Amino acid sequence: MRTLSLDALREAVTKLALEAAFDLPGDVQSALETALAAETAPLGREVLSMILKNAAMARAERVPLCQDTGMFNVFLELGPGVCLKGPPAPAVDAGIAMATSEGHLRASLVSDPLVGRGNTGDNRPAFLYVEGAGIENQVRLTVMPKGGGSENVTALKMLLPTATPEQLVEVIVEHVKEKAAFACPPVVVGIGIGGNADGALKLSKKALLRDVRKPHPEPGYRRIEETTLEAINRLGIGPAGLGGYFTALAVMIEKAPTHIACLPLGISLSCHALRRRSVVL
Amino acid sequence: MSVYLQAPLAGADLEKLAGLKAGDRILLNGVIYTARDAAHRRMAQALERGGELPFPLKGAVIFYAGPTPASEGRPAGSIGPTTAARMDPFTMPLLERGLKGAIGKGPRAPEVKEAFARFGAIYMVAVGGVAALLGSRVRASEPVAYPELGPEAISRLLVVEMPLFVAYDLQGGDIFQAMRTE
Repeated sequence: MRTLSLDALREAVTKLALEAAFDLPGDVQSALETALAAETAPLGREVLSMILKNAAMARAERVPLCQDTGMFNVFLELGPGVCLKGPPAPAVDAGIAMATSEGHLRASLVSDPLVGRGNTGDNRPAFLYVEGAGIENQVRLTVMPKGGGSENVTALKMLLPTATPEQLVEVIVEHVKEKAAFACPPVVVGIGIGGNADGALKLSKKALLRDVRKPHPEPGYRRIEETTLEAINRLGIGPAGLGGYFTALAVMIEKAPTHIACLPLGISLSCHALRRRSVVL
Repeated sequence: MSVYLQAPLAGADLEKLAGLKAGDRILLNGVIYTARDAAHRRMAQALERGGELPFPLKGAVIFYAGPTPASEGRPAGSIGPTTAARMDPFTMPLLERGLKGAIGKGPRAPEVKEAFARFGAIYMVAVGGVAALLGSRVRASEPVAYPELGPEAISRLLVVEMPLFVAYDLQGGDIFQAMRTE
């Protein structure tokens, strides 16, 4: 049995939120460098160069990579035997508020979605996902800020349970074709297949946590990821939507069991600034 | 090759717009204003009531952006374009009153694209997600209106060589279509 203090949780959230805001993850940086080396469209190349230059500036000067410092998705995985001395949400929220003031992050949340839409001023609340998972006595914490523009192009499609992999790929490509230009391409496509409706969306968001250079462990799904990525990169939308090959950097699938009548498909697009940081506590 | 434009757009700079082509690189200098969703709604409400707008629209360039707060000792924070299409429902009355330029990301509704050309105004895109880089081109920033909107308040920015691309030219050229059919 191990007890994790709420102070330690709060401090870890602040640290990860700041690192995520300033420092593009290595896997995304490397995928962008690979894209620049292969891109042939002049504007596409220019945009990719700007993206890499921006990442270097933000890292060196510790300023936000993107003005939309996002809504904070926080994934907390508690291994067996871990005990928290109270509900985690207030500690996580306090950690985000501290990062917002320390790092001069933009306050991007409103407290009421419809009436008033007053800004909360400190990016509270975080969107917290708590799971019992992982290794005995171990806590894994991940912070993934995500911008509003890319969140706006999230989709849930309830496919026929008899749909083929080819049909599923077609639905994804059609969605990306219509929406990628709004989500700061080259995008990273997170796909959730199965589960219940909200579960498919959650899986599509969790899919964005995987290293973008790593393929799916199962060959069947790996092929679907590759086929989808190739089809997306034949669309010609390109970096920033200004034309070119790289409309997407990666397609990553997470899956779950589902109902005999169902085949839910969740699609989450991340902008090229796919920001996330993890730590084992 | 880049075309230099000075905002607010007037005289020779305004005349340059007719010669621009979709995809041209722009380096923008001068004074521009930030305004995004909530500020557009406020401006539309002000106009409906017959009121005044908080900044002069004649020749103005609006940047659809909500920057981060500046850190100590810096003139501005990180800044970048938000999705321009969300401003579509509010754009026509601004064009009618002299707006000559807008900076955002992504395509616009067909009727808004057509209106930019009709009013001799230019829609430019900035690259999204390179906000540290674009922020370094802002030399001064001061609040103008609606401070209660926080990051959605209207600010006046002094920009130097802000790198942009012409999205829609005055002849109907469209960076998004041109690139895809190539």
